[in-house]
Amino acid sequence: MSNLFFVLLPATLLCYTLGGIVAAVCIQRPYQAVIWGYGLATLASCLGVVTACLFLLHPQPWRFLLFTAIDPIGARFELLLDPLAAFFILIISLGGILASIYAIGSSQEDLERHKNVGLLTVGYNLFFLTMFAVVLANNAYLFLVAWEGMSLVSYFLVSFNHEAEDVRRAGLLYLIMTHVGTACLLGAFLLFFSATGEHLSFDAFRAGGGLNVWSRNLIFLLAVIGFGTKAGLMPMHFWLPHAHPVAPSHISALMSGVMIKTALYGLVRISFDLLSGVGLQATGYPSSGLAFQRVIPPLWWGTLLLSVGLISAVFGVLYALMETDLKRLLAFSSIENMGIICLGLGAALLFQALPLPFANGGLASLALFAAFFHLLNHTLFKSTLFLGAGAVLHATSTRNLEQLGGLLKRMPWTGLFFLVGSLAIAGLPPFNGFVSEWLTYQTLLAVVASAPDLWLKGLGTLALGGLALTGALAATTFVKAFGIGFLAQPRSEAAAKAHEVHWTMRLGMGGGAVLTATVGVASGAILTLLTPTLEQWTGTGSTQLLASYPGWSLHISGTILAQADGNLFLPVLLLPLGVASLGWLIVRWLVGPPQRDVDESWACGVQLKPSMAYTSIAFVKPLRRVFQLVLQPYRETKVSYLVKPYFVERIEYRSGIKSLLASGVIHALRRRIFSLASLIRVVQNGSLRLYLGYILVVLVLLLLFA
Amino acid sequence: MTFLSGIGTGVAAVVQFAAVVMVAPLIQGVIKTVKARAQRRLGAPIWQPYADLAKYFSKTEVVSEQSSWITTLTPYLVFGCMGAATLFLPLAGAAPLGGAADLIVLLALFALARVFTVLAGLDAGGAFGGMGSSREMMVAVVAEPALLLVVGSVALRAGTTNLSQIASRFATQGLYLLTPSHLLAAFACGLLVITETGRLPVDNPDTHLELTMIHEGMLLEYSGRSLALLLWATSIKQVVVISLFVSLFLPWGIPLTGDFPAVVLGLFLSLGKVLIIAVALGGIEMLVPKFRLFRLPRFLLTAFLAAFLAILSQYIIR
Repeated sequence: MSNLFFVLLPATLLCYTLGGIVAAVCIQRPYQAVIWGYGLATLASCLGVVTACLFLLHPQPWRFLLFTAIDPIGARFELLLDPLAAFFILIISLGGILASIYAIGSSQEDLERHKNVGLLTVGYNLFFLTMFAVVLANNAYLFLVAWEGMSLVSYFLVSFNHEAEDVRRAGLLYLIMTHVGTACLLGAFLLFFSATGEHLSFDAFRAGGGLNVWSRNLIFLLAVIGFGTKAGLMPMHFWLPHAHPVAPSHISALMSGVMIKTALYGLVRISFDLLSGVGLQATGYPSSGLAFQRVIPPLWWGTLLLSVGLISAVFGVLYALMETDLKRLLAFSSIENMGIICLGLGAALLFQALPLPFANGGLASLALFAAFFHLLNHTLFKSTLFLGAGAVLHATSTRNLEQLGGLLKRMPWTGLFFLVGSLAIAGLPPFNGFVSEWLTYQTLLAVVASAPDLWLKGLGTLALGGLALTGALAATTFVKAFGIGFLAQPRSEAAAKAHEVHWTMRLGMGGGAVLTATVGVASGAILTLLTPTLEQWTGTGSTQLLASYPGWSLHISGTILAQADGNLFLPVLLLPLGVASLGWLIVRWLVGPPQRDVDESWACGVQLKPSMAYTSIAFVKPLRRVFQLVLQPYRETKVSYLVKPYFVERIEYRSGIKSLLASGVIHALRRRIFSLASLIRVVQNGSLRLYLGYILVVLVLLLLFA
Repeated sequence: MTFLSGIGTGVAAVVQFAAVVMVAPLIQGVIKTVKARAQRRLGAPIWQPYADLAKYFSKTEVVSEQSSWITTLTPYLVFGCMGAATLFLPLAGAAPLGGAADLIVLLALFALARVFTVLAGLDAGGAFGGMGSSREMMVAVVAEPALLLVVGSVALRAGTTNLSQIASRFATQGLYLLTPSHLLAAFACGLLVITETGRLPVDNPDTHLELTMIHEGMLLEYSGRSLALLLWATSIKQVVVISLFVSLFLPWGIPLTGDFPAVVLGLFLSLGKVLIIAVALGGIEMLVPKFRLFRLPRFLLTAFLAAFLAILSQYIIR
């Protein structure tokens, strides 16, 4: 079996590389570049899914030595395929399949606009290679190089439509913020480096020798800030709703659906693996002679992640609700979903910190299952939704919900897939989002039940209410997105003329929608697939505690967690559909075939106009008022007169919401950064001779002191 | 043996489904009669809701030319959700769904039905539907956290989110059940029952005035059999929500054994309790006027705080 991986994983990477190379060679013939580049990326992603699934069903640690560099600190550039990495390869590849198929069709439009699509295709394949490298790296140096590569490549992908001013600004903001994050990661790894006697290998970090409590805590904090910036956790999120929407839609799908997950990968890798050492023991890696010691994480780690997750979930979805730009709405909702995942991760850290013999195994694996399952689900439905938004943009050339409407009749397939994605992300049965949110609810109940003090119980209760609020707000958000965008009458010329998109684009979205529905009903299979990943941190057999009790109804009593006879959950999810069709049959049998007259909608007797339908702004007006403390809505009316006060020349009206964070803190921060930058400007005048002089001075100083 | 008990469960499920679905319009009639009598009116006969449904079923449907398949699907799906919800109730001992009768799944079914009703409201492109939809989602958003905390409070005390286990565990506790936590949660749940059934002071089911209506606004475009199904589903939801309250907070008398006389007795006892709550709901409607829309968050914040205290008080006061 292991021979198979020797072939499969390199074949996957090779296909992406080939895709990039072929696209680069055909760069003058963009049509070929698109077909070959995205075709090979699709193939590679399929191979990636197969590799990951096979590995997760028969896990064994598998190391791949990239090359042995001759460096003074003895770093070996290793790639390591363990269950965690395999799970994230599954995520990356699933997102990759959907986006790559879609991109074949969606690039046709860019071809007509004479954009350099070939170059985009090269970058696209390179993006996958860097993401694979991030999750496979078993060495801090390699990890950071891959991470930086991923950030830079994605910056170029974001800036593809660089003619527009807002795209350039968004790209720059993204570039700055991602480097703030990388700086924190560099700090974290340097702490590891100095504490472990100047080792760069993750194996050495795992052993954790020489790390005291303070540096442990500092590393965790830096990891939360660094990876949190990339993942868009509040309050480091503000770049995300600018950067994700301006990219071409299949890139947006990848960034929101896949790339930000690599940040969570890093967070899990550091907090569960490198800082605890459990992974080393549980999967039986050769510990390379390093001393091994298991460390229990302090209670505040979990508390911090839980709080950050709660804030991100509630506020992220609140801003998503207020958005009228379809792609920005989706980007804000990514922040929300990262928050929900962090609730699970935080709870898992909390359970590991509790002094309960049972809790840190069974409960932690429940919490991790909730988090990882939601991660997988978010990849599926967010990709579907972003691709759907891209199809809408393609057909109508607008992302503004107020300009849309009536699309369900004009784009029936896109509408159906968008609806499936919307229902899933709103956490409604029978789709996958419901199952993972249900697991998160159970996790939070377990937090309240097993927390050692009242403060933590209070936080757990708040998180429970917060998650419910998030779910209801998400339902409202996506009811709005679908209801305003796809139902009623078209509110603009462009929407009225919309047409269904290319079949490859429909295939990409449809694949996502089908997977979304399947994963929801087949949640038992996902548990099987995820078991090695979960047990890597919670001990072998801990997920058995989830499966040994009778339906997916968990029983929580204090510290005891159990669960019911397996498959009952599935019929329950499909039950409404069953009763609905039964009802349809009975009504048809008793009352006869439907008799319908078609007539116009009731509009108090006047002709119905598209402008009479509710708009996006109007739909959320009640909630804008309910949450006005947070959203700070404003409206300004300017009236200019020809003859005051009778003849009005024009009325200017503007309304919106103020972001709590962006108004104050960000501006202050930006001013400070610019003033610092102008200080550095003193030593930079752009002259080559001056820089050569600097190099000379540094060389002389080195020679003097070395 | 397991085959036989499987058949037994199936029969019980069909009986319970049919009983709740058939009784639901009667509960509606009872509430209306209570209100009429309290206002010294004779009122419509108690069976009037059945006659209304029969009338709607026989009428030709008028569909908006703007509407899509969402409008066609919604009545069946909403009816399906509420029909499925009846199987979650432990009216005669264990719920027909047994281990899968999960409280959070039940709430999700309500949410699914609500989302489709709201979409149908937007589908026809008129202003009334949109208004109802927008308000419905606002009420849902402010009610949902309180709802989940009530669920959390009972689940944490029973150690499970399984409805039939919660009910049977509570039923065995007798009057020891009446802790501060239980009373607080019952109070919160009472407010939520009023919200979820769309009754005064939250929504007025008897009005078609655009300033006040929420749920009726979304159904404005419906007629014929679709309207009949939606109205029927609304009355089923009312019974389900009331029974939920009954089995969580007044569980005494739920049969703990599976023998036939006990089950029948339990079923009638449950019906009696549901009727009492229905009369109480009608009584409340006599005492309070409808709230302004923006007073609702305060109303539901009360429920949220009560439920929050219900969870914490079980750890403070033992």
